[in-house]
Parts: sequence; C-alpha cells; structure tokens
Amino acid sequence: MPDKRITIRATRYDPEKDQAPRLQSYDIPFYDDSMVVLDALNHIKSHVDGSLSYRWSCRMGICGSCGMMVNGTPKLTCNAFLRDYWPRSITVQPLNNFPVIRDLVIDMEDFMHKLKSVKPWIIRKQELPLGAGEHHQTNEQIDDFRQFSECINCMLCYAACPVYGLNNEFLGPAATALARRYNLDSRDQGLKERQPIIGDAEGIWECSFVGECSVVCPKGVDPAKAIQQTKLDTTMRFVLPYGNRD
Amino acid sequence: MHLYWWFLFAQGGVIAAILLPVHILFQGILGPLGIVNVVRPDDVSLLASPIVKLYLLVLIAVPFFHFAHRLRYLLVDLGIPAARSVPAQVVFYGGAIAVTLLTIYVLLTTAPITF
Amino acid sequence: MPPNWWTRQRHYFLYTVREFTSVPLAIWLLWLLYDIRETRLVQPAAFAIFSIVCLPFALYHSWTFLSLAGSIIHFKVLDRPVSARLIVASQFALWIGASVVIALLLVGLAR
Repeated sequence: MPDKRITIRATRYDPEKDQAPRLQSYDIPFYDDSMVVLDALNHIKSHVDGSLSYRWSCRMGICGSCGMMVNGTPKLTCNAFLRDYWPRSITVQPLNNFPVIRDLVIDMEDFMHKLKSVKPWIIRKQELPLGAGEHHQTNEQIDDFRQFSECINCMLCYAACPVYGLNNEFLGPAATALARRYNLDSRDQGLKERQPIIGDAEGIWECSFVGECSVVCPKGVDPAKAIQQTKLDTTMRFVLPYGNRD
Repeated sequence: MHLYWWFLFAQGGVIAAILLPVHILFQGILGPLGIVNVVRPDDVSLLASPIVKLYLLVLIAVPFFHFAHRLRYLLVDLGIPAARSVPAQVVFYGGAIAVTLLTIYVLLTTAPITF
Repeated sequence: MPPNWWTRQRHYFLYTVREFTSVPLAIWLLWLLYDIRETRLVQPAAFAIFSIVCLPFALYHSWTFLSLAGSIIHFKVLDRPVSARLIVASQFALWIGASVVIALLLVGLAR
C-alpha cells in the first residue's frame, strides 16, 4: 500500500528578513491515523525544516500553548486530527487578532495583561486564621463555577471574537469567564474589586453575543454564557440593590 | 450608562420577540389582505382605551431601545468605531427616546381619553 | 480585520443577519404608528407586501433571542440550577401563549 501523504501549508515570517508573512508548503508522510496537526509540525521541524517556529507543550489539550488557525478556524493543533482534513491540504496560520512575532508564534502580552487585570485569584477581606482550618465547600458550591474554571488560557476565543478583532481594548471572553469563576466561588470576596474592570465600557458591554468564542473553546467553558450572565447579574445588582447578590 | 442601555435592550428584545410576530402576521398580512377580519390600527373605539394605549406604547416604543442598541453595535461591527462614541450614543438612544415621545404624543392625541 | 469579516464564515454571517433584523422591524413599527394616526389604512397592499418581507426577520429575531435567553437566565430552585433547556422551553411557551392570546384578541375585537 502506498504511503499516505498530506500537505501542510504553514505561515513563515521572519520580521528581520520578510516584508510580510507567506505560506510555505510541506509534503509529509501521514503514517498514523492518530496524527494531529502538531505532530505534522513536529515532523516538519525535526525532518524537513528546522527553522519553523511554533509553541507547544503537553500535546494533550491541557496546557493551552498550541493554539493556531487551522484552515481558518482557531484550534489547538494537538486536537486537530489530520484524518479529518486528509486528503485536502491543511493551512496552519498564527492565531488571529494577535501580533505575530515569528512564523506561528504570536504576542500574547495583551491577553496576559487582561487576565491579570481581573485578579484571577481568591480575594478575601480577611484571611481565615490558620486555626480555623480550611475553607469548606460543597460539591454544589463548586458546581456553581466549575465550568468556568476549565479555562486553559489558550486564547482561541480571542482569535474567534470579531469584537476583539475590531477593538483590542475589549476585555474578551476568557478574562471575563475567569473573573466570573472567582466571583462565583464561595470562598471569594473580591467581586467589588473586579467590578471596575468588568463593568468598564471596554468590559462586558462591548460584547454583542456573537457566540463564536464558545463554539471554538476546546474545554467547554462557554465564555459567551459567562459574559451574558455577568451582564445580567451586574444589571440586576443595580436594579435590585438588596436582592440577587450573585 | 452601558448598564442601562443593555437593560433596555434586553427588555425591548423580549417585547419584540414575543409580541411582534403575531402583530405582523395578523395586522400586517392577514388583515390587509382581507384573509381574516382583524383589528385595524386606526380603530378609534379601541384606541380610546387607556389599556390599549399602554399596550401600544410598550409594543412600539420599548423595542426601539433594542433596535438602537443593536444598530449602534452593528455599525461598530461593520467597521465604524465612531459608533462607540458618546455622540453616537446620544443619536441612537436619543432616537429611541424620541420615538417614545412621538408614540406617547400619537397615542394621547388620537382618540383622546375622555374622563 | 478585513471589513468583510462577517461574510467569511456562516456563523458570522448569521450573526450579522440577526443584528440586521432590527432595521425592518423598526420600520414596521413606525409604519404601524403611522397607521394608528391616519384614519385610513395607507395602501394596504404595500403594507402587506412589506409585512411579508418583515415576518421572516421577526421570526428569526424571536427564535435567536429566545434561544439565547436560556444561556443568560440562570436561577436555582431548591438549591439546584434550573436547566437551560427548561428555561428556553418556557420562553418559547410564553411566546406561543402570548401570540395565541393576542391573535384571539385581534380577531375577536375586530369590527
């Protein structure tokens, strides 16, 4: 049986040498049905062209490093199976809406800044004294925020969001989902501290519920839901000052 | 401010989603085409009722806050960032307020309530 | 982002259509307001044709808006979250119920 092959077209861009990004074609063996796009990139780097640059780490969909545009859709390349595209070629490009540093590597500084701005950690008015023991939390209390805690910071949602694409000031899906994760955590008392960032003009209000963020999220976080629920909760808190303090 | 616009957007959306289709179907299509005998918009005996006036105010004016909000952001989506500015907010939400006032005026002066 | 970003993908295009539904519906309501004011129906055939165009937009608006309500509305009954599907179903039930009631009124109160 002849060996199966597949064509990968990857963005190449060296800012010191190239005027603009271009696509370079690589024809590689498709030797195993379990191969993913990341495996293809690794094969290219190991055996064909060592200069190809890209980020990756765990290869199992949990570190969030390998997000790229695969045939125009933001995907984790460790989660994009060659068999779903073969025999057609696969175009791999750097994640949309972020500046490109080189080849498939993007500058994630804006996201890191936004993530930090929502204070994604437990905020207490006063820490429990050690003698009081650990915080107790029922399964139901964890269920309140569990879904939003699944975020792996892969930024696929930012690549998918047209609002972020049009306006880089927008807080964005993942940051808002993570803010909500902490606001809903029964151990947290930091809602007031996060409110200025979330309720800012460039915060949740810019979102027009396109919903593409939730479509591309590889962990089922549903950031679109997080944002809309935050809009509702923020509004209700204003309209009913004594009730529904979520 | 965004909070208020969003709240009105949501209310207007509910009103438009739940009430509009049946009005369009009956008063826009079946009635004018003579297929079913339907209340005419200019039915003075019904328009004289304060309850009908209130209903029509809700039906007509509140959705305009929904439309104003959506159209403003549609312009942003289509590449007009100026639609985010405060003057743009004045134009769009001011427009919705204007429609509300116009609706109140029309409803009060057409078949005025007699006490 | 290219200015035609919303034509590049089906989901983006449908989103833009959803947002655009505001335009025909706004015009329809203004036409209704005009018809309330004027003591004779202006060109019933023209209004009917325009309404036939508007109705699909209205239905698409209702469908998308009420479907997404399940995503936004969240509350607990007896400490258990109400499922999104139930919330969406209740929205559609409300839509159908209200439509039936109003339809009966619009036909029943006609002279």
